Amino acid sequence: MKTTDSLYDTSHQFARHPSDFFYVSADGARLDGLITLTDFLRAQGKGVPPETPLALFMTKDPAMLAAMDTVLIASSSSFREHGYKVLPVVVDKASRRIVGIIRVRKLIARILAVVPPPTGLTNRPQMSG
Amino acid sequence: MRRMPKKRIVIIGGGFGGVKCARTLRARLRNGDAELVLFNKENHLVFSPLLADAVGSSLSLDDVIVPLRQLLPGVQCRTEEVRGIDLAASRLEFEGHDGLPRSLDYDHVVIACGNISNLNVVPGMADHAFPLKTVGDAAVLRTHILSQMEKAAVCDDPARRRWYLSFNVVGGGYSGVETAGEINDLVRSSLRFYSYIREDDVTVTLIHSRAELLPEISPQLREFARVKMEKAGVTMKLNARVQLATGEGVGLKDGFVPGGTIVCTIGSTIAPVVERLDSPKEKGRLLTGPDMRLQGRANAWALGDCACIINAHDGQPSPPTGQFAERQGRQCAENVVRVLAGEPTRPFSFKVLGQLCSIGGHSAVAEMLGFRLSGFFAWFTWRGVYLFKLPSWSRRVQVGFDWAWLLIFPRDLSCIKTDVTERVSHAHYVPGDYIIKQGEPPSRFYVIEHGEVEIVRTSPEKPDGEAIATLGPGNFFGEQSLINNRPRSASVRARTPLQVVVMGRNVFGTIAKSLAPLREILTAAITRRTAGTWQERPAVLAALRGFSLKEFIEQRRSRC
Repeated sequence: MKTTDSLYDTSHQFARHPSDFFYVSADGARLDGLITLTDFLRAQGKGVPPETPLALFMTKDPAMLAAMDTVLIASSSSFREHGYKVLPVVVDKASRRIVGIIRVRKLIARILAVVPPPTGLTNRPQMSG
Repeated sequence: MRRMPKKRIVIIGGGFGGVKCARTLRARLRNGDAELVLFNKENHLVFSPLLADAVGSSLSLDDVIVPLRQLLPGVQCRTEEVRGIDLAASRLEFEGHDGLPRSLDYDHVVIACGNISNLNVVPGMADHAFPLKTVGDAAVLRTHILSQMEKAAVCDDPARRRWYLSFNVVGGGYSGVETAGEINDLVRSSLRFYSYIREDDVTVTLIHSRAELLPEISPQLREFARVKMEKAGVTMKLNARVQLATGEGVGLKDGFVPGGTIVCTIGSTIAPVVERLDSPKEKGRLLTGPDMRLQGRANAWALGDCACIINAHDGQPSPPTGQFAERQGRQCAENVVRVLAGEPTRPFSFKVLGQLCSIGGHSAVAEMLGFRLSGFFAWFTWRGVYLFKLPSWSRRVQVGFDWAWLLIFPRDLSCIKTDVTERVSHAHYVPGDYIIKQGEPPSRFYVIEHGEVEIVRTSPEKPDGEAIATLGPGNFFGEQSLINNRPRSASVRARTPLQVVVMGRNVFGTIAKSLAPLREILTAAITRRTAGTWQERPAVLAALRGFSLKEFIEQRRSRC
């Protein structure tokens, strides 16, 4: 979506596409922000007028990964620390040219496949007394 | 007479045992015959039996320490941390002043590094309790107690006021009993200066897992101590094993004891340098021969709490007390001198002189040379004995004067803050630098601008530390200890070149209190970090390192 698209346009996009976020880019290539379903519902809840441009209620300068990054530790920290469910991936952080996204679910599924969680998290809690 | 070549004797540890050993060696060997080097992280000897008195303001903090350089003329005192000992090569490795590894060859080494505090014995204790092992611990605890009293004095909510004035001391050994007695004395004797606080607002609870306090002394004296302390206002929780500690108090098997202060006097573990040593051990303590030489070694000796030494007097392992450490230090030094002179060594043999314990309220219990004492006379004896055990005359006079002063005048209630002038600044670190070290008092809050850090926690199972989390740009650390006013529960080390914004305690406190969103973020972070650290444990980090980012990228579509 473009930064100049309105709240009304956003509602139509969410209605038409089964996605929980859209990239926002002024020129169609550089990542300027993300508009998530949460951002959209929050704006609706605050009574933002339908003609308000997306730039005013999107997530600006979101955390992102560069495609050349090979280490995933930073992404896992971001997922945990900020509660992100997706992280955009760009070619590099200077150009911010959008490549795609990674999802926390996919990452967790792979981690759990190779690392079992601590026993305390899988055992049934003991009742005291 | 032909002089022997100059020998280098290295002593690791500046406690009672190490200091006595160094002093005896210096007295027995001429400067030209031996070079003596003593490694101790602090530049002073801590007179640990008096730490409780320092907490209770019966003594000033300066009175319980003696500078090693003044105490040990003719001995090279070094404060670098010894990392390891290569017994085969007679070489020790230590961390230099610049953080780089260095080594030193020796002819004889005496290992006297004692024990270190280990609060991880009970869940939550490391995060919420105060240890009492160093003079820094005593200073932090004393300041905390006095600040709790100041808060209580202006608190309108009676329940909160009682919570501020509830002090839980865990452990019914010498240290626990003396600390509970001193805190009780300090708080109750100072109430006349706090008109808003009533006597029954104060609770000092001594929690002990056994049926009786002070297992080392006779049943009659134990009973005397219990009755006397209860009469002075200390609540006893005996047969009560602490299950967990939180910011609100301690959990027992059958209940919860609320309190704004938890002091943990239980839990100790061997020093990492001993843990790493390739030498036979008994429950972590170095096994020695009767003359205190490590088994199978001709020039390596061990004494004090870190050693398991059979006492030839009774055939039993020596207990980990200062009294034994001091005697072992002296005899170990004499045995080293005998070896240098080509004479046979002698086994360690010592008959216990007695036991002394202060229980507060100018009262003590003592067993000395077959006599049992209790009450004021025992307290006076306890003070006299410890006064003359202090290792220098200047300290004896100073401490004696302080004690005499406090018999007449009230205790010092000044609550000294050690914060330096604060500002918000930037700091840079190179990979491997420590920004925070576990156990040190909190003073700053950090926000990462560039780079990554790893959170490293040391435990008995992982003496070298375990990386439990990694944080990157936009993240912050240091908030937990500042908010809870507890020593740092983990170290923070730079993984990459790092730039951080540094905020002093008061600046952080002011912003965190006045800016509600920051307060919410901090609360959420603390909850998340204490509950979910498993997500970034080393196994997960290793798995993440094995994955390629490309495997996870969902390619961009025109509309997602």
